[in-house]
Amino acid sequence: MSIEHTAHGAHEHHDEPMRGWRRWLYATNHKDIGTMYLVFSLIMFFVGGTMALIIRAELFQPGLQIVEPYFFNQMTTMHALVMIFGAVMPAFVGLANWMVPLMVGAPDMALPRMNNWSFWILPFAFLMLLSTLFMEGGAPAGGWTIYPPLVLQTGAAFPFVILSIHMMGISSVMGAINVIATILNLRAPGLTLMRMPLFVWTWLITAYLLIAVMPVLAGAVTMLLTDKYFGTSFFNAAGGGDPVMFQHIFWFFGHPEVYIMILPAFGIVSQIIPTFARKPLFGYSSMVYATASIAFLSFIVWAHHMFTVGMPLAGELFFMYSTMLIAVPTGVKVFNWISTMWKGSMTFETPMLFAIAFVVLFTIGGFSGLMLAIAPADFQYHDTYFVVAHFHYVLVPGAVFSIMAAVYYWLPKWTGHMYDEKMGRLHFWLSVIGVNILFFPQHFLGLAGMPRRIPDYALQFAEFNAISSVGAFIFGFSQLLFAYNVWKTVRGGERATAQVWEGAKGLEWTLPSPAPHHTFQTPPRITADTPTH
Amino acid sequence: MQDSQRRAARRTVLWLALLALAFYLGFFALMGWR
Repeated sequence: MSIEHTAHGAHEHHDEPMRGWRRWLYATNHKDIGTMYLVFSLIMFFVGGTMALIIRAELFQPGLQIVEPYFFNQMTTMHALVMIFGAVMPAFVGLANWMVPLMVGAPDMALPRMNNWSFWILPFAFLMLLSTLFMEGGAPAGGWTIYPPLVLQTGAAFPFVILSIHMMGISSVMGAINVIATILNLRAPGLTLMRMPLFVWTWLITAYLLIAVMPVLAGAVTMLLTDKYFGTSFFNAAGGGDPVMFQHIFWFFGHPEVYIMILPAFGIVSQIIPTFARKPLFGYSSMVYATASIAFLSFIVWAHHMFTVGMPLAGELFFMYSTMLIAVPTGVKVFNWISTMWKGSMTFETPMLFAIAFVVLFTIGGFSGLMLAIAPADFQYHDTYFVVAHFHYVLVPGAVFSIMAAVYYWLPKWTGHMYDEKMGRLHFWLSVIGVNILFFPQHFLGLAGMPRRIPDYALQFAEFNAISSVGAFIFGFSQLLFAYNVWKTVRGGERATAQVWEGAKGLEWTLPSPAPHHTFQTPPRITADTPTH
Repeated sequence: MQDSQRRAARRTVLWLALLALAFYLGFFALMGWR
């Protein structure tokens, strides 16, 4: 076949990356594409973070001070969309691009050109989404869950939002297909599934979740589009439709989406803790089965987001118990991480600090999740700041901390330089203190009844809101340290060894630092004695 | 990448497409059931 022909001819001459902008625009190398994903994600993290600071600045005091209420609503909606689809998900895809081929001993991702396409869709999708801020009627303001009928009041921005969500979905699905094809076909000989590093395992399972649910979101938003512009009544009760059906379809996507954002984080933490505890991961196979169980359960819990919408009692009970069941495999994981650290020779470099903070703070988010799962109690918590506190605990000191841990952990492998450890630790302490000042008081606000997505509030909520906003600015500005530290490490610094960390095990650490542009062109042979995770 | 791996990768993509199709058919069948 002609494709194979050209690919063969080109292989011999592509040891050096292309020069200038062509290297990035035409990139098929998994490391280059991984880098682009990570840089894109960092930019979006700061864009979404700026929106969060606008929200917290307005909420510093009761009353309306800084922004118009309608613009405030645009900020809450856009902050969520940018952070979920622009920051967290692309960061994990970037890490998968960089690390999965290195961890399984593959020369690249299985479908390198599709990989290029997956990435380059994203900047256009987000340009389109962010451009809605400047449109007549402004950006979407009905919340990231885009519930009809409210969202159908969006102005000129509406079709742009729908199309940008479609593009993000296409990008994610292609990325997921690539991850699965790589893991199932390009593993080095002898690297059986149960010898794979946990990061590879969690990403394999995440990729299946992505393929299963992103098209569901695409279907839901397409129905919104036809309801608004083509006279259909999918979600319009007056035309025989049902607005609650949208919520069911949305959360059938939305709940697995939550796990899409946390399973790779579990994988990262399962790589980092054994390295710095200098012990093999406790309960490897139970970690794999727990991940698979969480993925399965993620499909049968969606209506716990809708307890207050009205459901038959049997439905409320089913979704309550199935949700609580998730605590079992998650508990297995938390206990395994703790058992891995137990009696280990631990050191506390920045990646380990973030990983330990992850275990503690993610668990707080898990527990508040259990509280929310109790259907009768949820009637009190629903749509309050308690929910905001809950999902920010799992997403910020959960997913975001794991991403930062991963960057500090693998940055020496990517750049060949050690990052500034002192600055890393300063970043960690400012972040961990800031994030708790930011989100912990929000539990109290929610329990006291402060609703979410509002620009003004009753006077009794003033103190905790002021504290929360101070935490937001500490956390937000300390991220500049992170960006500076990464930039400084890319530019230069102390040379990193191949193994980088004393306790690091796995194929990626057998490569020199920085990892050469092409790696594992001849696959390594793996036996039962090769430490692969 | 070897040719055999390339072929295997393509086969995986096809399998994934079939799997997704089965998933949605199953989902719609369940929704329509009752």
